[in-house]
Amino acid sequence: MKRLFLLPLFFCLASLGLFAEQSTLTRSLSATLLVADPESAADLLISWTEERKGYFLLRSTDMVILRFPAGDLETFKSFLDTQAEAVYDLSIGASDVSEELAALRSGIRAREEILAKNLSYIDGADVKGTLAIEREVNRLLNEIESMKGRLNRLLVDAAMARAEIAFTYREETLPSNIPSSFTWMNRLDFYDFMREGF
Amino acid sequence: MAKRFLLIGAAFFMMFFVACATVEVTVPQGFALVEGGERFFAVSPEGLPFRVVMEEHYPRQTVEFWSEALKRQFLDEGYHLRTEGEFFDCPAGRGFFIEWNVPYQGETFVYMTAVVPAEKVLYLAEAAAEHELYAARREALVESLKTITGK
Repeated sequence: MKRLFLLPLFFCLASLGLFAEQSTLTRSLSATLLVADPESAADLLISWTEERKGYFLLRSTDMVILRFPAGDLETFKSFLDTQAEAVYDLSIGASDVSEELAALRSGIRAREEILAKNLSYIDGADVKGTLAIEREVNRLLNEIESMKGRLNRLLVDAAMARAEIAFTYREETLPSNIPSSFTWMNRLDFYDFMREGF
Repeated sequence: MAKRFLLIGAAFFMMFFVACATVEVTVPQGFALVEGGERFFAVSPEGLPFRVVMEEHYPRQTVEFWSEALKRQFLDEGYHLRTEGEFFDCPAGRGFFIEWNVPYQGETFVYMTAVVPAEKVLYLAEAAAEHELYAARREALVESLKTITGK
């Protein structure tokens, strides 16, 4: 009878479809962008991400952390080039998590087998034995849940690239007046133009 | 001695010529003419300024030379290229314009500079605005550049 309560739980855990074939490479990108307006730049990057069913993990005045489909990483890199005045410290990384995935999957499978065996003993057990089996079943369920959580996290990491983009606004890159040998050229200056108008 | 007088005379003549000449530009569509004559100034309803002035064309050089010199000078000064620039034809001659990204008041502004070398004068055009506004008015500005001439 007790088995009837626990069996659906077991089948439910076993049927989550976590073992589907997927890429085992996690990709990441980090860069610092020179922008005139970090707020606008963050808006543009987040819009780009959301158009591709991605999302942002963090948004602050000088940084965004984005997740988007790993296949779009190259496109994202090109997008950065078009949006920033300069891209500094660009770093692209990838790591293979296949070993960790395999370990988690086999760990889950082994625990599920032990769980099934424990459940098969429960009908013939006395009260003391039943209590012991329940403790063991609870422990196994906790471990299986925890491992499945880590497995899910790795699968998401493999499917979605992570980009950490910092923004900088460096004073020294602002235009400064350097005298030209050609007199007329010295009259062209953005800041003078904005200040003087006509 | 005579040579010196000739040079001084030529310099005065050039100054007089530039001072008396006028800039003729078609007002960009949607802009208001603020000043015409020796220099041209127009403004869009959003406040985008567009100015064309004349300078003495010295030393005499081609538009290719001035486009390179202009690009080099602005890059040295720390401006960031927005476009590589374009050549265009107008009644005053062949010109060149280029656009720069400039940080200004917490936003990215576009600064357009154009040069048209005519025989005795150089026409210099400038326009600047926040990038979205500039994009909206760019076509009208470029069309106006193509009408630069002088009297």
